[in-house]
Amino acid sequence: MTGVVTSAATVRPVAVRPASFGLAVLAFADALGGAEAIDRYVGTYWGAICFAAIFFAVIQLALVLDRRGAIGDERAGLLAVASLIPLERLLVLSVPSLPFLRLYPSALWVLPMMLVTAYAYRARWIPAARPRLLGPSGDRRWIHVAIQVGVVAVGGALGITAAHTIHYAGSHVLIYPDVAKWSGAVLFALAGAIEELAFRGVLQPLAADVAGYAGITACFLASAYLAVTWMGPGAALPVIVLSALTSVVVYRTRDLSGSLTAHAVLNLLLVTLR
Amino acid sequence: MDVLASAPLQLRVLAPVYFVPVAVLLVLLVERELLRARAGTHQPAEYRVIDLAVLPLVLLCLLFAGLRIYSMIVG
Repeated sequence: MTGVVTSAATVRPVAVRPASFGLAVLAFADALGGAEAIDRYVGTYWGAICFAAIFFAVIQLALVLDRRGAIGDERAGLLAVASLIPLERLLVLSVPSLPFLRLYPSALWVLPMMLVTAYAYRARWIPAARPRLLGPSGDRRWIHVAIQVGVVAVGGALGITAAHTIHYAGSHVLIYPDVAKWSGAVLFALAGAIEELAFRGVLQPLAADVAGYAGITACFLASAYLAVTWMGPGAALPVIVLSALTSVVVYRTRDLSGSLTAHAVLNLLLVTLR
Repeated sequence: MDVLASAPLQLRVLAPVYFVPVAVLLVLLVERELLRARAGTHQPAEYRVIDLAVLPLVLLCLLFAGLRIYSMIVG
């Protein structure tokens, strides 16, 4: 009979290192890409379920970080605000379409998105200094104003260019005699301003605090992804160009007025001049 | 009239995708109540994160309900 000798082993808890920003972004992009594939090849219902699951999972992760006392940390705030990305896709897929809005029948998703973005922008518990809605008043005020006016001019030029170059098979805005058509146009313009507020006003400062220029790039890619999935690659191109410009301008000037106005003007011109 | 009497809300005519955010909202509201039950009278800090998720879904459900009532009244 052979005796078995066991050695005493001390089990120590393994310290868990937080995943790097790049890996986290990659995992998030994988999940969103999978949901997009399901939305495209299986159906809108299952796509919406996937985006809802991603949204729910991100909120749960933010709650876990909160319970660990990490709230106030940029990563916890960034995680909570990153839930806006699957939330926007869920809203776009699941809102009812209203034909009387004419120019943009499925514009209702803008209203809940506006509410949550304004809440996140004003929330004190989310760290990072948000850019101002209006520029500074001081000696260099006119330089700031000139930069913001320049951004708005670029947005207008991109809107006019897109309206004349992008193929559109629908009717012109003036064909419709009712007044409600302008509601759709206003909501479409408002959607651009809300996206700027969400991505440049809330998400970008947090991402920049966590990962610097990589965070700003990830934030820009997220807004480009949403623009492509929402409007299609052709119509999204001017929006992506404007987003690249506003990412830099808002980061350097910490002023949102130009980017909000420029995106709204771009969308308004795109939908009314085509 | 018979249709209205047997199915007054006519939920079967709605697309199933409309119910996805409603389901998420219900789960989040239950989770919020569980947090409140666990924390007692003290309002837990997790409310802030849950509120961020609940706010847009509540507004979306109100829009659903408003449009549904309007379409049932007007026809």
